[in-house]
Amino acid sequence: MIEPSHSGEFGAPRGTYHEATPAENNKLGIWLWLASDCALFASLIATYLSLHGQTLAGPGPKQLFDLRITVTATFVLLCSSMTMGMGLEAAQRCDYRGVLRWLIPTAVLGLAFVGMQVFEFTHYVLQGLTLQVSDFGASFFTLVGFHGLHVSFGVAWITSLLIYVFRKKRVDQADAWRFEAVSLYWYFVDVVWVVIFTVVYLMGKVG
Amino acid sequence: MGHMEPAHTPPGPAPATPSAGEASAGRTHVTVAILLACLTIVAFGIVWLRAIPTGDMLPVLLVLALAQIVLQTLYYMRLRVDNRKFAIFFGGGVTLAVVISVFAHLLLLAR
Repeated sequence: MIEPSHSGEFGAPRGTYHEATPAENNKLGIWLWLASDCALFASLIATYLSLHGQTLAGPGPKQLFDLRITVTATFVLLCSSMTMGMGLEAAQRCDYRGVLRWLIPTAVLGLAFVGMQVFEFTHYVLQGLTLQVSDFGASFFTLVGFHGLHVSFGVAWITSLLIYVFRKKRVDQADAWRFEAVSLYWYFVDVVWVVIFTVVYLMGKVG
Repeated sequence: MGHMEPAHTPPGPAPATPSAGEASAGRTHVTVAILLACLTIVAFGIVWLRAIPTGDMLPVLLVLALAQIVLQTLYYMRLRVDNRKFAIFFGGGVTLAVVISVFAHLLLLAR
């Protein structure tokens, strides 16, 4: 992809043409993907906001949600964002041990988050909230479950990168964009969780 | 007295020892994480303790969430320093998301 650089982006002087590298094009692709994912989550959040009051015979958010579990899960995800940042810094300085030291905890924290979500869902099902029982149940499980699937995909992505560098026994400068892509995705998942935590859990508890 | 030679960076992988700039980037990650944790505690505390009237709670929670999102996108996702093109694309996606949310919400309420 060749494009004019009007503002000296990517280090090219003003008015010259800059050939974007595959890494830059991949990063642009990741940003476009995340932007489209925003629209997908927006639809699910709007559906939830419209349907969360329709609980029928099932339990509602106010009596159901246990904020202690959700806050713990939020802290776990926040910690994983920090370790991901450290892992990315290590990858950018080709520090093989640093990548392992920070990305393994990131994957473990991601798994812990998914585990807490499974525990939470099981708790709600035992309390009588299922996908079929009410519109609230359907929209809640779809929205939060969809986010959980995103986290699970992120864990699988990080694990595959860890296996990749473990087999190579080193990290090259050429690999840095792979870590940048997974970190952008991971931070995005964290941002979406901030919205879900506020709109679904905190506001649901307020009523 | 010898003259100053320009520094040449040898080709090959970058050194694995963290420089001052990298250490400062690590500090930024920790600082942002602490700020995010504080904002989460404040939001949770407001709801848990019923610290303010219910009517005022929703805007406060939304402002706290917005602050967290801005911190994450600017510092973790590096939109503050990265190519502006990425910020425009992502901003476009977020705007589209907000428009979809409002329209879908109104559409479903009208049913």
